Amino acid sequence: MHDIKPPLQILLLGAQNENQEVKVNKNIAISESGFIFNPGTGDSFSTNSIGQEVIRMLNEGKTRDEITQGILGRYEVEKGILEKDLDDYFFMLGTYHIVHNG
Amino acid sequence: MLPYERPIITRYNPGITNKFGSRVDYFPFTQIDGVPVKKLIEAYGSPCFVLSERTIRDTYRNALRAFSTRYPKVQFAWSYKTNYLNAVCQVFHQEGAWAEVVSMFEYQKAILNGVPGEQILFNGPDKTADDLRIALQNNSLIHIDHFDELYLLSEIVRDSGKKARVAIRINMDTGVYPQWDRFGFNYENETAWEAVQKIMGQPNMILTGLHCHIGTYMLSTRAYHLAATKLAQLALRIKGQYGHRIAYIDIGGGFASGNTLKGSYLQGSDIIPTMDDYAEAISTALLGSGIPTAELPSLYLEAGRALIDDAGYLLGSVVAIKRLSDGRRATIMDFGVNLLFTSFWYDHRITPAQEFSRHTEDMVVYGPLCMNIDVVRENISLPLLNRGDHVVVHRVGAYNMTQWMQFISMRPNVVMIDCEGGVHLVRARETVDTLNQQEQTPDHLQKIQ
Amino acid sequence: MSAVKTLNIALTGLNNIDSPGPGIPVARALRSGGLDPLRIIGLAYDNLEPGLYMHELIDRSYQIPYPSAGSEALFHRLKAIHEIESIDVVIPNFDAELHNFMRISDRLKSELGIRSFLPDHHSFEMRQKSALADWGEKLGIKVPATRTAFSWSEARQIASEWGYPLMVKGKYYDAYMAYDADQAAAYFFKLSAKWGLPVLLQQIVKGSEVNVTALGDGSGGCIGAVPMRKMYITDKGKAWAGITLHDDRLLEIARTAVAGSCWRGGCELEFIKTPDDHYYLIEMNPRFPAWVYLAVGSGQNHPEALVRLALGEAVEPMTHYEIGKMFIRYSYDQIVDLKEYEHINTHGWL
Repeated sequence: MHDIKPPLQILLLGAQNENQEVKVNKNIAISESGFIFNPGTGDSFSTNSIGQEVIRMLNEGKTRDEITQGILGRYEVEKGILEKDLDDYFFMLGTYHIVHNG
Repeated sequence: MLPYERPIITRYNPGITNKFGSRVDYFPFTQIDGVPVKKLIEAYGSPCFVLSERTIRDTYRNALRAFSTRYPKVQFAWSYKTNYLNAVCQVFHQEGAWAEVVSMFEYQKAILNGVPGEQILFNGPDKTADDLRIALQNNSLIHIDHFDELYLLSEIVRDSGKKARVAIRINMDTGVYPQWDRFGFNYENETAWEAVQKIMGQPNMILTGLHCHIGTYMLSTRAYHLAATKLAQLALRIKGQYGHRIAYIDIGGGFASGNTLKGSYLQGSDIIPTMDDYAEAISTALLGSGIPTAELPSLYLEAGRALIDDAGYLLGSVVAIKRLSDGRRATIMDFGVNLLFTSFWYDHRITPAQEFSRHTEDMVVYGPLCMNIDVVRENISLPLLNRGDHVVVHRVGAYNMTQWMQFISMRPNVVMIDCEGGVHLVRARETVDTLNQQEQTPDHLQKIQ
Repeated sequence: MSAVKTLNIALTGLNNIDSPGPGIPVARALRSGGLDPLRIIGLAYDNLEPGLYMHELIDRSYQIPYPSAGSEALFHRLKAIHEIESIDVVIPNFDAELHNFMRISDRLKSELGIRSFLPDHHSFEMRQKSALADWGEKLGIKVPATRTAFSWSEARQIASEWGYPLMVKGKYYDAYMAYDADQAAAYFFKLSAKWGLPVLLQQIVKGSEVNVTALGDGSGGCIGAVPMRKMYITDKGKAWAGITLHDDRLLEIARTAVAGSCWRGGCELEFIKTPDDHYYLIEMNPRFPAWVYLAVGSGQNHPEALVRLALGEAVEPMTHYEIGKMFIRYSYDQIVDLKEYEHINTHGWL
């Protein structure tokens, strides 16, 4: 039974999943300009520079918590706001099939 | 530390870019007449209405120039219902505008503002016997809307022994849809002429003016040309039949402001006629009507929206940002349809009041009310906003500060920036006491237990 | 030796799709004229407009804001592009964008030195669908009876007077033939949702469709005009193939229309020629048609002449063209690298 997973977005939401490992799907191409191409679906996307940073950190194998700390250390933002924004961003990354739970 | 921006990801949807969702602004709107938006919000709270005295005066002077350089006798009357804050009315009165009112409440405001009775045009379908007596006493110009009013007034003047200066409101076909035939007497079916005959038969009524008001947010100047022509023809007919000269033709208002109507493909500011266009259409109609130059009637104008809309701003702040079930972004502001009644028919321009990056999001903008109708913009593309960010809503000077609702939350501060950059509170925010002082609770309901 | 200055021409309408915009034909016309050295800058609304990727015709392309963003946004964008490209002449090719371009044309010239050759507001308005009948009457040009409707009940009333079939037309674009009230209602709501009110109803005139592509000098003169009959029409109502005609009466009517409006710039006049040889003007489009290259192919290069007029050169009217020249349209699948699509998406230019 343990291999039946709840839907992706539910896993990504909520602080209790902060340490859930999230991985970028393979073959996802992201360019320096923030252009993302998903060869599996044919969709293309754009992300802003902070979004690029998040994806880069995911690719480096960083956990959600490490990503949060990394951004808090460099940007002028309160933790609560960042948590909320990251929830939304991870939710959208999941919806667009760019990341999955490892 | 670097400035923070929310991480976002947007999917490219080629070919279905919504034609109504395109981005308009590339620069933040950080100050009004030199006063920083941030300072205004710090001092007067958010939301907050801001009026620019300089814009009001400039707009008025431009309108007056447009008409008076084309027509010899021009008189504006400030349309109270558009914005009857005393400070606003006084700016117009200082500039030389009379008052145009549609209720006794507005009439009283005009009198209290010091407008002489004979410089008040009293419009509207609902004037009581008492209202008419007061207007008669003050020698105001009474614009008769229907036969019931005409008969009522005729009884009142008979008893008073005074002479009433009256005009009739006339509705007509000017090719405009919808035709406003609910106000006044119809031109084409001769009801207007019937009204003229009845008034001319009244020794105590002086038919002083002819009035029409063909619609609102009118984009066609041709309709005004037609309206002015028809009123001039009626004036000529009266002159021919009775030898009586009409002193003024009141062409009303309805001139468009630069706001964009919902459903309009192009921006309102790109398609509206200028004040010169309206003036040209109206004055050429009157000058070419066949009325001898020496007998030309005065031209009265009751423009409201076009004179005040641009001078009004609504400052507000982002309350929350959320995502709807279909993935769309929603932004909740601290102002809604309670303050921005005009968002029911305009796509108001909203500009962030602080720096932003090139990234934008399509979103719905909601107000703070716990009511489903509270939608400020159904679809707008804005830069990334965070909770607490400030925005400026443009062109809100007309109708919002009169049609605002005392619903769920109270009305906010209204300030005016004078021509030297001084900021004045012109209407203080309402509190719970504002409402409670009007209420009376029976003794047995004073306590919960 | 001093280098000859390159002429930089910006143009829109790069949507060379199944219902094509005129931008690519105009670019091709400019390339085949005598405007050397020439650089063509494409202005695109959508990142999938094929012209963006036609580098043999378009040297570089930029995104511009949709017309609904307003003329101010357009001016700012053109200004930014101008700082890079030093645009000499801009040629808008869409009906829906013309209003904004006309509105800023004086500022483009005085503040940035960008020239254009556009009709003035007055002539633009008199050929609007809703005003065409009045205007035609003044010039003695027949126009099918046209009425505006602001509501479906109004439209139904007009339709019941006229009977079916009739044409239901949008304020800016699109026209459908309705054979009964159900169809008319569906088109009415479709068009009012897309282009707003009013919707136009036009009586049907039976005959063959003949069109003229023309260029007016703005003071009543007609610099060029070539008549064409559509030989086959796609299901979108667009010409698939057409042939130049010898028809002096049609040309005369076209010149009357250009003179009567003091038309400045390119235009397309659409007529129905009835079996008893009457010509009914259906529409006057305020820009070159997508088939404008047929005029070039038959001897009159209208886009090149427009550029010369915009630059203030004297251009002699062109009266000769080859009769019986045909165009046959084809579509072509360009192969595009994702890198290019990415570039226009992320940088706004390509």
